[in-house]
Amino acid sequence: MRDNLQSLPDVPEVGDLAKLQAQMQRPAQNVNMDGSFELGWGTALLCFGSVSYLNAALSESVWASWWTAWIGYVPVICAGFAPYGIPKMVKRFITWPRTGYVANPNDMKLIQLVMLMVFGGALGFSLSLPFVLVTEVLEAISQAGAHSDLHSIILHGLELVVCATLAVYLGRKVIRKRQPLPAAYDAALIYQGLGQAATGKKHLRAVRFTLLVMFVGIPTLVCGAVFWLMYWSKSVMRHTEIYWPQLGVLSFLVATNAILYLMGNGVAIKRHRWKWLVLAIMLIGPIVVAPAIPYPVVKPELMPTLELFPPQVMLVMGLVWFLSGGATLILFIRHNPLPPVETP
Amino acid sequence: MNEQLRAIAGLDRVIHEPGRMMIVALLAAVEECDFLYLLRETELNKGNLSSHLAKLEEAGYVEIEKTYRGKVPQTLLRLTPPGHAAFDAYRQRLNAALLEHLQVLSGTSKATQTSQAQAEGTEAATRPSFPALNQGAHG
Repeated sequence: MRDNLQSLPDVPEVGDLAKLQAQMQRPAQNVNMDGSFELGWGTALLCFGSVSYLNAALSESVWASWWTAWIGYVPVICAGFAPYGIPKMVKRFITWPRTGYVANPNDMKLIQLVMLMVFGGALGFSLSLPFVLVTEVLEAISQAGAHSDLHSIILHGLELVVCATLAVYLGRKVIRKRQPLPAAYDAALIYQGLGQAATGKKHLRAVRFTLLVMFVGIPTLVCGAVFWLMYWSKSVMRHTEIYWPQLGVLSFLVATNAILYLMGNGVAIKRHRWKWLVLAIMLIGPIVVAPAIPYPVVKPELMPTLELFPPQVMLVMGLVWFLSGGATLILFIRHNPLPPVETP
Repeated sequence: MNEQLRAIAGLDRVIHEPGRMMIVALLAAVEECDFLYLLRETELNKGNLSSHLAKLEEAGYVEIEKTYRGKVPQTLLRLTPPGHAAFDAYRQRLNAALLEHLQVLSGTSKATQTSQAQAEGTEAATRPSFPALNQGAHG
């Protein structure tokens, strides 16, 4: 049995399939070779983080009018478009002239992004408006004869109907099955084939265990470690009382962010060892640095949300992403000079 | 002729050549790309790449479109539907060959299990047989 398995790599088809697999994975692996994804995501986080600071900087008169209040939402719109627009720009003007143009099958189109954003907004309103409506209806019942509330209830009811319709309509278009990543191996057949042999079953068990560790074990461990670090430092909470939801959300946010960084740099991290240091900074940085950066509280009613998602944590994480992306881009430009222009 | 040799003999020769196999595998993984991208990824020289692309275009597997990006000429390349179908068939044939090898392994392990079961008097010998796999791939 063991002799048979050892002879498996000598089968020509196995070698051909391995070559095919390596070749087919290259386009997906090279998506972030120029740091464009990191730059886009970093900008998005920086924009989100800057909303509170911008709100504090803007005068009250800006918020008074519907015509000027949109200025306060510019960073949010920028944050929505940055992960799409910045990689596109970097690829168009820096990467493609050096490596050649390539379009991946799962690249998001602009119209899809706009639809996704509208869908997100509509879904958010559809979920929150029922609570507002119920509160208003209960208030109207308790204060019988107060006609001014009726107008607001009808308006919110109409808004709910429009948002829910939009969410259902766009949801059917936006939530679609993504094309699977191209692979040379026919996973279902290999799985079936391996499941029949005793040695194959051992391999399958090992694969299942590895997947479980990767997607459940490591995130839980990282989340736990960050939670413990925050509990230990306490200073991130800005007051001595331990606020458990804040600890939980922050540790989840920081850990998820670090895992996203690791996934986005899966191949690049082998080439650029310094990214491990960035990963460590990304995990510890928000806990250590964030308490040092003050943030303004313009609206006290938003305090619970700000405590859960402190803007300075977003700023620190965004800055680390952005600097890492910038360094990757500079290295990419240095190692990939423009090909010489051929004269006919 | 044994099964493996028969499988190799039935492979699409246009795709099976190593250079073209690299090109088709790359094109199958992307929507479209240009000549410079293929040149860089396959590490072939321009002459070789052009000649392979001409053969693939002749077979109807690759579509070549000459355009301009600004003032710079650009050669866009994409796999045609017959190209995708041919590559899928090629890939499935390789998978089928690999599975046949696994089947041999399974047969060996089953024979071992049967002898062990007979020796121990257990029910291990009545395991389900290996199903007929990927029959479409042999067509």
